[in-house]
Amino acid sequence: MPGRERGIDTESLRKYAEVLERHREELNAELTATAMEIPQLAAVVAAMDPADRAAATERSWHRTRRALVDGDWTEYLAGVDQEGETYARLGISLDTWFGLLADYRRALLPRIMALPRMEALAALDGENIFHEIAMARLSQAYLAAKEREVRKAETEREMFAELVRRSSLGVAIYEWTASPDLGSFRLIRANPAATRLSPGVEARLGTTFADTQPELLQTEIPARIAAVLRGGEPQDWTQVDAERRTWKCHTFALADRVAAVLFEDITADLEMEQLLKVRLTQLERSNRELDAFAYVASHDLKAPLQDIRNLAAWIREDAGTQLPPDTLRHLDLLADRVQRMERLLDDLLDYSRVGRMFEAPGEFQLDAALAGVVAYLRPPPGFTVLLDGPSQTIFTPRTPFEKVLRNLIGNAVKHHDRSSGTIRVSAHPNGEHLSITVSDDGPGIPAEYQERVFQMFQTLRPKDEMEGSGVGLTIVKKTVEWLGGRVDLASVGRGTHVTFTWPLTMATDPERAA
Amino acid sequence: MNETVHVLLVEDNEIDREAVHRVFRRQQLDHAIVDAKDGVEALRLMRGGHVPRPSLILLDLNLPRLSGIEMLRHVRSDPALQSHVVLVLTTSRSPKDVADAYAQNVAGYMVKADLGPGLHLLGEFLDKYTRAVELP
Repeated sequence: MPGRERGIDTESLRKYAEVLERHREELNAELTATAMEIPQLAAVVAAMDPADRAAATERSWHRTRRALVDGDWTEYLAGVDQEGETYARLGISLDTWFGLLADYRRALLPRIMALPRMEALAALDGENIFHEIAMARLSQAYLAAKEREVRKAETEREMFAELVRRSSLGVAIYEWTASPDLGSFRLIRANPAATRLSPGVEARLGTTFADTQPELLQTEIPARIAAVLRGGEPQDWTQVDAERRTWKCHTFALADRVAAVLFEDITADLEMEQLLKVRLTQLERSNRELDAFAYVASHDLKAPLQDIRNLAAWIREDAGTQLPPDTLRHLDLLADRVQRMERLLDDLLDYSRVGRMFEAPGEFQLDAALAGVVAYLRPPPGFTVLLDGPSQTIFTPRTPFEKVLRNLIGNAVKHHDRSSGTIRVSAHPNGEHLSITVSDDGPGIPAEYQERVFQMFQTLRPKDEMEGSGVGLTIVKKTVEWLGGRVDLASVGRGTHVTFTWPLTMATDPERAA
Repeated sequence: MNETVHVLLVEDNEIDREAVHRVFRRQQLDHAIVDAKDGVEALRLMRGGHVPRPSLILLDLNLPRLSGIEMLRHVRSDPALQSHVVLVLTTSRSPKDVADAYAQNVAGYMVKADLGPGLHLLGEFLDKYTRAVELP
C-alpha cells in the first residue's frame, strides 16, 4: 500500500523495530506457544524440520526489518499474502488468526511500556502503524485466497456435474430413508442418460421404491444397494428386465445412506456380439468347406484326366499307323489339353493350401533362397537373376516364401518379350517386415491391366501362346496377405516391379502371426 | 520259378485295370489276372477258390464298399488267406496309408504316378519279382 506508506512516521517504526530486535527471543517463543494452541498450525509445525523452522523464522524477521528499518515493504507484504493463503487453505478462520496476533501483541506491549517514556511512545506509535498495515493486508489476502478456493471448488463441482450430465451411463442416486426397509430407497438425482434409458425416471424423482417401483423389490437391486451402504464393496451385476432388455449395473456408496447406481442398456451389444459369433462360425465353416471342396475337387478331377491321358496313349499305341495325320494331331492336342488342365488343378490345389499347409518357420538367408528358386526355375540362357544389395536373414516358413519368389521370377522370365533379360531382386527391412522387390526389364504391364493380373484365372495372353493358369499371382497375393503383408505392382513403360512385404520373424505358429 | 501265377487285381477304376492288363501283355507275362472291383468282391473270389496258388494280390486302397486297408485286415485275420502276398498299387502318398498298409504286412507299396507312363515299371518289376521270388 504505497499511498499509506508515504505518511508513515519512519522514526517510530525504527524505534519499534529496535524493541522487536531486543526482545526477539521471548516474543518469538510467545508467538510459537500461542500458535501451538491452534491444532492445524501445531500439526504443520510438528511436521517441520527444526532447521526449516529456524530458517522460516529468520526469513520472517528479515522481512519485518526490511519493512520497518529500510522502508521496503514489498517482501513483507508478499509474505503476508502467502501466509493468508496458507491459513485459508488450512481452514483457520480470520478470527482465530486475529486472536493469535492479539495474544502476541499482549506479550509485546509490557516490553514497550518498560522503555523510557519518549522511546516507549515512539515505539508504540510504530507498533500501531505496523499492526494496522499487517491486519488490513492480512484480511485482504485471506479473503482473496478464500474466494479463489470457493471459485475452484465451484468450477470442480460444475465440471463433475457436467460429466455426469453428459455421461452415456445412466446415473441414479438413492438415499436410504428408513434403513433397513428395502422399500425406502428414495431417488434423489438422475442424469439425462438415466431419463433416456429408463423413461419415467423424472416422474419418480423424490419417490421411493415402495412408492413407485414396488416391482423392483422382487429384484436384487435394493439388496445390492443396501449391501454397499452397509459398508460392502461396490457391486457389479447384469439384470434382465420384464421387456427382456439386459442392463449392466454398478453401485457404490457415495455418502452416509446415499448410494449411486450406474447403468447401461447392453441388449444391443449382446445381440451384436451373438450375431458376430454366429457369423464368425459360419464364415469359418464355409472357409473350411471351401478349402475341402477345392482339395477334393482338384484331387478327384485329376483321376479322370489320368484316364483320358492313358486312353489317348493307347489309341496311338494300338492304331497309330492306321490313323490319318489330322487324327494324330488331334490326339496330341488332346494330350496337351489334359496337361494344361492338370497344371490348372495343381495350381488350384496350391491355392487352397495357402495358410493351411505352412510348415514350422526356420531361419535362412535370402540369397540362399533365391539361389534355390533360380535352380528350380532354370531360366533360359540369356536371362540373369541378381540380388541387388545385401542379403537378409529371415525366420519364416521357407516353402511359401520360396513359392512367392518363384512365381514372381517365373512370371518375369515367362512373360519377357526378348531373348535376354535381367531380373533384379532387392530387399530392405522396414520395421517388422522385409520389403522385397522383383524388377524385370520385360514389356511391362499397361496400367489398365495392373489390377486384373491379381485376379484368379486372368492371363493377358491367349493360353495357346503362353502356358499359364492365371493362378500364380493370386497365390502370391493370398500368401502375402495371409501373413499380414501386401503386394504392390508398378509398371510404367517397360519393366515391371512387384513389391511384397514379409514378416522378418514370426511366431512358431503361423496362424497366430497372421 | 513259379508255375502260372494268379494275380488278383483289386481296382475299382476300369481304365486302371486295363492299364495293368496292357502292361502284362506288353511284358508278355503269362500270369492269369483275376479282376475284382472292390474288397468285398475280392474276398468273395478268394474264399470261392478263384485265386489258386501261387498267387499275388495287387491292391488299390481307395475302394468303394470295403477299402483296401479294411480288406487287408480281413485277409490277415483269416487263417486260410493270411499267407497271401499283397502289393499295394495306389494313387495315395499319404504317410498314414503307407504305415497302415505295412502294418498289415504288405510285400510292397507302389504309387501309380511313380511307375512311369502306362505303368511300364510295374511290368518290369512283376516280371523279375515273380521269377526271383518263391510265392506261397
